[in-house]
Amino acid sequence: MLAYVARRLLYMIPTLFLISLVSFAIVQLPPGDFLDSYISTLEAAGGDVSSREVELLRARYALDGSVFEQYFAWMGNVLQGDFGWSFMYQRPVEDVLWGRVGLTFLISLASMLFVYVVAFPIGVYSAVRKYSVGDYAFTFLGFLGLAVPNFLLALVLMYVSLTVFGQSVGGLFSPEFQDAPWSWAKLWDLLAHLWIPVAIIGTASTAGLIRVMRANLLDELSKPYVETARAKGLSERRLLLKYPVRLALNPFVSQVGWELPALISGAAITSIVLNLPTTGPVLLTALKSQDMYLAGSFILILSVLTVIGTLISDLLLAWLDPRITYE
Amino acid sequence: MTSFDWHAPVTAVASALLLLAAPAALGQSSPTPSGEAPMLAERVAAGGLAPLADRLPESPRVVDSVDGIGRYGGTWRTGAREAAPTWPLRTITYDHMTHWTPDWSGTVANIPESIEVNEDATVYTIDLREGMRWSDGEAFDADDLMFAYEVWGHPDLAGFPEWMMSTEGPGVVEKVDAGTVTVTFPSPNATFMDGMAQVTTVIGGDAFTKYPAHYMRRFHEDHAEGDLDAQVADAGVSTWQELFTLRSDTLLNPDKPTLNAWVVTQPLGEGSRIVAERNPYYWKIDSAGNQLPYIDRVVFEVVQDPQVLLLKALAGEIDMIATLINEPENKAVLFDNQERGNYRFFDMTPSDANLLNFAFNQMHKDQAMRELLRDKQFRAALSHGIDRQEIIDLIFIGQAMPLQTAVLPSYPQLHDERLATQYLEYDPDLANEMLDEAGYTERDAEGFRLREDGERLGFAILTRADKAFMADAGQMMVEHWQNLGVDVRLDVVDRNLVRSRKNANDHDVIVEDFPGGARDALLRPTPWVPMHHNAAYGIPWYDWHRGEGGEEPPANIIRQFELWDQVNATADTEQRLEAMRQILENAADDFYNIGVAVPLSQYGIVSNAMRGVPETMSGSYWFAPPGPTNPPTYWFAESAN
Repeated sequence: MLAYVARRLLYMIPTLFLISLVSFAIVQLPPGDFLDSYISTLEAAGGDVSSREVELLRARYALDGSVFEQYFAWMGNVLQGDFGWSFMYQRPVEDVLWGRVGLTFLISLASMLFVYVVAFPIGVYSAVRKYSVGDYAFTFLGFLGLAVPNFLLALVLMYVSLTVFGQSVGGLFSPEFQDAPWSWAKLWDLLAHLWIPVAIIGTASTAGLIRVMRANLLDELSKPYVETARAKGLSERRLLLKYPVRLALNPFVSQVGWELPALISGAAITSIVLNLPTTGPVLLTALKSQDMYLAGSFILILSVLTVIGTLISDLLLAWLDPRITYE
Repeated sequence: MTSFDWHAPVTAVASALLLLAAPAALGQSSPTPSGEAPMLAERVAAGGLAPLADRLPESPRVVDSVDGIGRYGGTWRTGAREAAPTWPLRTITYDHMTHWTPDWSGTVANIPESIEVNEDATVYTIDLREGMRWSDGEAFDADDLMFAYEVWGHPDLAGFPEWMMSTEGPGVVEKVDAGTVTVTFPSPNATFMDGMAQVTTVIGGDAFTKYPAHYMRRFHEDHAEGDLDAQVADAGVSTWQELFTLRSDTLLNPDKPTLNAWVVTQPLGEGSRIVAERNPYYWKIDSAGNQLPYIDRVVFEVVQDPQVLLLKALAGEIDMIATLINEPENKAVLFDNQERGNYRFFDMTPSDANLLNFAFNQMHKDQAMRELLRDKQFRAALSHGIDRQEIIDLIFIGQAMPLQTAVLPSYPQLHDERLATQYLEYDPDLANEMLDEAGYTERDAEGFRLREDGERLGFAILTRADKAFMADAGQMMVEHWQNLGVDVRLDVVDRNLVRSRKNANDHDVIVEDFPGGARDALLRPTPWVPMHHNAAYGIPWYDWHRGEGGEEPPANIIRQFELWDQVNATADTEQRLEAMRQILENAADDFYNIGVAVPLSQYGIVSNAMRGVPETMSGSYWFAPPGPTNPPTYWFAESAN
């Protein structure tokens, strides 16, 4: 097993190299560079930049080199732990990202738990009570959550909370707690705000998981070993949870690989609409304005997490299901 | 509302003083500093802060609110965007060497007591206020300006601001004594004062006072004592230049002392707000002697999506804002919710010289096209052929007014009626008549007019895809002009492609919007003098003028360049305006650009509890509103928050 892990870790290096190279190149693919989008941002606000200032900025940001020169200079710094300079935010990339990672992680983790807590029992229920009223009702709700765009749900919830409850909208804290040190009251305030993004992000993914759980479990339930166990007089509850459900969990576990990067990237659109200080919107704006080091670093971090997550889920799967072996 | 909480020591005595002091403020002696905010008085009483008299310079700047003497206290809640945050730059950090006057008629010395200039605008003498201090209590003097000069001149740092450049190179800053500095230019530079009154995000009008020497020295290679490399490593950057840039950013670094009315305590990027608190050493007082600012604290909600701010404004959680949410499409919903949100509107006079400026390439590479586009009769006929009202109704939902590209009537100092209104009325019959008269009488089978060489009469309009209203309006104009028998085509392309084709002079007609409708005409008269790379009607003239090849322009354009040099070669406001008026008059003869419409008005919103915000101010980007209207003099009439 150790040899397997070592081999997998070794494979990661070329994979990550290629991902970072390709993503860095793609960020720069549209015509023009960061300065062009910067200038048009200014022009949209009615201002402009003189030719001299453009030249000064171009020289300061070393935008004249080829993509490859820029890539290798950046990569060299990344290996030493320096992710470079964000043009748009006018400060180091680390400062832009790390300040947001904590809350992003919190929101994503909370919505992941929300999804599991909701989807798992419903999935089991609707498999066991196939085609019952409950099955249809939950499936309908799940699909509704999947079909309604997150941003729309966010806007509607914000509007309702403003007009009906007169509550401050956007962000994760009420104004009076924004800068207050952590306390029980502040935690409570956070929880009072947190349910909105968690519910919005969560509803979208529950439907998928419900269906996966339901389909897997249905497969298992009709297998002979279930019949055998039932014939041997095992209680229905123990039988269900001990064998078929455990097998039906496999897809959940293999999904962990994708959950890890999702924890950091957050839900960009929802975060923008709700004005959450998370990382998702940063990636979006960085890509839009061709802020190449910021976007490149972000994608690099996400790729590392994806690759590690895949490894973890493979290991978990092997641990969970003895039929899978290390090859 | 009922109990006015006058916990500030603004007493009847002070109000009486106002009557005596107001005329005196115009003369030499300024009012005696006598009032300070309760939060500062407490710190003084506790012994943590020097008394008021020791914190202020000998001659503080005296500015008054438009609504009389204010009261201390309150938090100004507003919003900002994280990238390119111009609103904080225009509100809390708008304390540059010079300020625009509130009516935008000119500039006044702000930080210095005075700035004297010689006749030909080559030598400026800056006289600082004695005893003035940074927000940390350290002295502010000529050495700080000299350090800034050193920073600009350093090859690896920001570079000289635009306003320090004359045509023959950058100005030289010299220290005369601790309170006096001279700036000497190799050739006249009348934009010096105007430049410092502006806000730009790159190297701004604040460049002289952005680098407090006693603080910033430690990040400068030539001055740092101790281990600069270790500081660089700690900050997570790779070079000392980056560290220097980072530490000199007023919004990002709460440790950097400033001269601003409010000092950032919670910086941009830390949490979702920027918080700035009053500067105890602020060097301005009102005419009753009360130290400014009146408002204790300014809080910016940093948002990704302005919709969040809009909802906050509707809920009454925004006290004053004139950015991000003040779009025409939001006006209706803001209007409907005025009562619930407890706010009112104020006017921001627009200064766009035009929203849709069609620049006809006078230097077209193709000889026949050049002749056509140079035909003034042809352009005048086209101008009469535009149904401007239709475009305004459909594209700008009525919120615009037909006008050629000109200085607006709202800036009478430079408004030229002929330039603004010639060939303006929609009259297709007249247009057809004019085209016939110009000799384009032959038509082909499809009804399009023919040029003398038998080719179809027509051209292509080039426009950028990112400003949708230009493409939409362009499409309507294509129709208007085709009705006259002119074969016009619209090319909507990426803005970068517009730029490269414009720079290469590969275009017939380009649509752009332009500033220059007010005082900014003196900064960017692009539609009338080809002095900027956006002057699409004469790119080779622009290249020739800056000495980069191009082609020598005809006499009328050389005359425009001479006048433009005159505008920049004298510090005398009246002479500058006079030269500018001539430029605009000549431009009316040239008529190289067809304009369609200018915006009617823009707006901001302000809480009903807030005082001191003028009913009207310029909305131009170049004016940096509301900075020149003195936000430190805004105040709250009641304990609203």
